[in-house]
Amino acid sequence: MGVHVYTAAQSLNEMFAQYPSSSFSNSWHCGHHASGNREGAVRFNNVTIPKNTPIISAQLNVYVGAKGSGSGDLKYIMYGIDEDNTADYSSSPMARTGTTASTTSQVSVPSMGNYFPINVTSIVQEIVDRSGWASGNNMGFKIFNNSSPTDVWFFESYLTPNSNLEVVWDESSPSSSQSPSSSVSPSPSLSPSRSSSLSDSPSPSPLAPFLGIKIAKPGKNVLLSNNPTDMIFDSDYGTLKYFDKQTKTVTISSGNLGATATIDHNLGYYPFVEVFIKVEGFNKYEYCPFAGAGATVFYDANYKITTSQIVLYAQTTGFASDTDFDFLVFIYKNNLKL
Amino acid sequence: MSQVIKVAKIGKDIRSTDPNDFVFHSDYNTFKIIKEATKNVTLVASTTNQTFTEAHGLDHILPLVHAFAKRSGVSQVFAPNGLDVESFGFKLGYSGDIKFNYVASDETNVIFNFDNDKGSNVDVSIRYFLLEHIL
Repeated sequence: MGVHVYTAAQSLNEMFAQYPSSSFSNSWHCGHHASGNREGAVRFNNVTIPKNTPIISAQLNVYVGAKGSGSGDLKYIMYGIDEDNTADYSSSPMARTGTTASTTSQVSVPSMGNYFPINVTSIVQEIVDRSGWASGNNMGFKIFNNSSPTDVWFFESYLTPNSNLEVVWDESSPSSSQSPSSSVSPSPSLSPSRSSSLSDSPSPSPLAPFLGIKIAKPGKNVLLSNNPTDMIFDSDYGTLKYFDKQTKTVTISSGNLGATATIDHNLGYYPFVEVFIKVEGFNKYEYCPFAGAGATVFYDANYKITTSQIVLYAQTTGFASDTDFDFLVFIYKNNLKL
Repeated sequence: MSQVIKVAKIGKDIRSTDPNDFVFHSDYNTFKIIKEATKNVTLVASTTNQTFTEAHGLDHILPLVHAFAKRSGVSQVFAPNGLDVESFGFKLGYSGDIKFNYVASDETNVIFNFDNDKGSNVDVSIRYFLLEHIL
């Protein structure tokens, strides 16, 4: 007997979110919002259950990426999509034929970053018993609101897919020997976890093997979360790569309106840049571009980025003497690709 | 003893307690780029306060957003709250006809706002970054 875990892919069209007057293929949800019902669907790829295998248990662990602030339980009805190999959700799956089996239940939606389980044993059994089902096919589920209280809902984005389908079957049975098991055994991440306790999810299910480095924030579980905001570092996500810091003072001579100066970076592309500025007489750095004023003065600053330089500009009115603008420029190696 | 991963800067001691002495230190969060992408828009001639939106796919989550813009055919990039500077003079200051008023985000969209003071439409490419969410 083995535990097999399948997680939704991190790509568009694997989830579907139906709103009262619109829909998106970048997330899924269910419940009741002030603007109306929210319903959705999720698809799992390459579900390696042999045809006609007796299912011991199947559970869809729903990840709460966001939730409503209402009170009371989420009430829902879940169906499987009764197809041999469910197509992706580039078109709405909500009207596709549903399984006869369904799950009607209610749950107190846990806090963000946690899971709640949906028993889908009968649903999964019905799908794998289809004459056209084959191991490795795609399996889909759709969920409908069932009179949930106002503002009680859950939401998950495709950018941080954590919901998973956990299936247990007897691998010694004749029908399950037709194809090799490709179960995803739970395995810890390669990096030391900073968390000291497991999530209080009712059914914590380890994620698929991860090849990279993740370091969880205190109180977060590196083994259970795919949410980048739970991580101090996650090699699945880029960071701003600090390259250089430069300062430049631009002086506007009295009688002139403006001044300019340049800083060289010579990266050969347009880099991500952050610029701060301090105007003489005002002892604080402000984010640039900006404009400010005093009782009788006006000043503003701007900049532009070329593939070799940061060009700084400053201008003023009302200053009686030379005025210094102190620019502080942070240059990152991140290419803007423009 | 707690477990830590840290990489000191060149010339700095790995035993330092100053976070500024490190390239990476697991006691301090890194600002992760959740998503980056390019959006192309056309600014209508002689029109201010032009708003464009792009669904960020982080519904119900407010990401911190930054962006840069580049006008088609011009080899320079400008930032929000700034002009696409086209001319400068010591007596006249700097000026431009295209202004990137702001970039913002709500629970569904990234929002870009521009002014176009030119008498013709202008094509602009916007590179935006969604950073670790703020709410």
